[in-house]
Amino acid sequence: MIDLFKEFKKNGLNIAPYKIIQTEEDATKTANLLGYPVVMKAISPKIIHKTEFGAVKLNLYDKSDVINAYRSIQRNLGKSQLEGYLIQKQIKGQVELIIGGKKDDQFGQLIVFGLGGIFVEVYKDISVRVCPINKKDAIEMIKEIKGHPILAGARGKKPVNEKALVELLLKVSKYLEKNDHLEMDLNPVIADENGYTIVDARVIR
Amino acid sequence: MATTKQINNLKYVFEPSSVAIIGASRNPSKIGYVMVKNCKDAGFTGKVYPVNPNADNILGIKCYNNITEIKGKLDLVVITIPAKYVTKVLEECGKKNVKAAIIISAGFAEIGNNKDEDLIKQIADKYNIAVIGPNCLGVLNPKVNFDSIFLPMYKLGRPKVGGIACISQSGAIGGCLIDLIARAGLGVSKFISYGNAAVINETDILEYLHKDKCTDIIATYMEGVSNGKKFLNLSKKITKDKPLVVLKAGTSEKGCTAAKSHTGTIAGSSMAYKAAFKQAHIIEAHNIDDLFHLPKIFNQPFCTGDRIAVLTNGGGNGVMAADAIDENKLELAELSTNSKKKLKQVLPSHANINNPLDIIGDATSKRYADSLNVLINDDNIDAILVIVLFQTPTIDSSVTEVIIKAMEERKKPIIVAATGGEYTEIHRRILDSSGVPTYRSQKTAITTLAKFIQYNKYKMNK
Repeated sequence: MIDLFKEFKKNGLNIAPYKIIQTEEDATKTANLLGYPVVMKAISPKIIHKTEFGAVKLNLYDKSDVINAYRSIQRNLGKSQLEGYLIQKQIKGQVELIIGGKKDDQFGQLIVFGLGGIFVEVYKDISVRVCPINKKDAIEMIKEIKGHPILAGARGKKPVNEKALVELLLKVSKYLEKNDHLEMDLNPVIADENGYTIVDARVIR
Repeated sequence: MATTKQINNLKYVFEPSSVAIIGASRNPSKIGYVMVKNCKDAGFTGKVYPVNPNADNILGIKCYNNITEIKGKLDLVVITIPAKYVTKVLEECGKKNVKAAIIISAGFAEIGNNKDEDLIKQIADKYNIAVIGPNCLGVLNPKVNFDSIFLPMYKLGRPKVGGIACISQSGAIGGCLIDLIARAGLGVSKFISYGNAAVINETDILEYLHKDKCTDIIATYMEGVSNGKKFLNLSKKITKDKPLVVLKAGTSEKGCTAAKSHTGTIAGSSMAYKAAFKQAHIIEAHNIDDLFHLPKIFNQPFCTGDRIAVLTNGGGNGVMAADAIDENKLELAELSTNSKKKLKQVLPSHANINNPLDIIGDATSKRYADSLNVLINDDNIDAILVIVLFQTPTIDSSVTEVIIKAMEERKKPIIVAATGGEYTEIHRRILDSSGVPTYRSQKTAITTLAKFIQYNKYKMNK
């Protein structure tokens, strides 16, 4: 995950501010530095579904929350499974998105866009294109999903910055073409009227 | 995938001046008999050489023991003999400088016999033979009356000459498709069933048809492509010049279960195809009816406007059309003041001058003619859907002439929706074969019209 974040940064993608720490003391220091609230995630190559293992702690508002989270993760996973802890500023935004990549046998890299959570899992409300995509494709991908009114500012909310999302999709398309991963999830990507932030990511190489 | 030379040699598949039928037969229940008979009955003017070592003549045509005995040049061979003899014959073809071969015979890769299929490819490449098949239904080119389809003419209708090229991986679907096209009175430029695609595949055929002057629009049935990127890039080029309609079967998702990520789980191969179709501006067909419903509308005048007028002699049908217009993100046209004034003069006083324009159950051909005359000249209207209930007492066959006449002015697209039994279907065929696209329901008509307009918009902005 950390290597991936570095790679993304190099490719001009916005990542939620983070730091890797090992000790409890560093945890509280870093949290102070990043500013509360923060989230803490276990760094462990063996665990795929982090939430199910109690390896992700959200909504940490003060020092004692951070210490409790640190200890809880250590308990849940055991020291031997842990390479370290990732502390990340908890990003507030308007909508959660998922942007993905997949290598298709016939067409090569596909890029996928959708609203996160149940929209993807239950409604399968996604748009797909074959890479490389152009600006027109990216705009279409965003407008095409059924949940688009949510991005456009449903229920009196401000519309999210779709221009920033278009740029993001174009960068991801380039990244996918260059790296040719088997699968990739940027999930969640948090968006609001200012732009977007990638909070978590996975690739299958 | 074929070489450029092989793709160019497809010319001899469609327009051979001489053809040998390997496995020609005197037995009317054999494919080899139907082939010779069809060549004869279709009025093919090129030379036909039946090849069968056990017969002197078939249907009055001299028979040969093998192709080396045939004097003079030979453009095409059609091979119907059992799989195990095919490669030997193909080698002889190469030596005789035969340009193209259609291998009807089955028993190759589709049953795991990759060895002989690979051999076909090797021989074809060595001699630059354009090979269609194996395991296919054959080729039809009504323009030169060449018919290598092994299904009897009394069982499977043959379309007349037209601008639609039909390509089908499956012989079964391909056969059904041309039978339906023939029944609707529509015409084709070429029909090709390409089967296992050992040498010439779908992309090669598309490349040829892209440049084919007789082909205005391409309709394809496929279960997959042999090279996704190549197909995508070629399709992008084709759709800049002519519409490409594709029915992709096998949409049920498999192979997604092994995926480890969210994206991997959701984005299966059928989504990849759909994405590629969108990016190439391919018009996607969802069933076999779409494969000729969509192409036939493209004989209508270029139209990029969304404002649709509906003319009907049945109220309910008009309401359903209005719903379909809304569902397809088109608009009901607002009739101009001038049109309303003119319509008031020609329609009965109790007619509601609005869109959908209901000219009432006692409408006659004259009332259709008067109304159409107003609608085709109204600049607020981009396209017209004419609904005809042929079942009413006051309507007679002359309404078809009225519609054909209005269509022939070519001011805007005119399409027809007519729902009913055999009497209605006969009139639909009259309209279709005269160049007025007809549909059995207003929903199909409007959905098809929407795709037509969408493609034209792309073409205008490309």
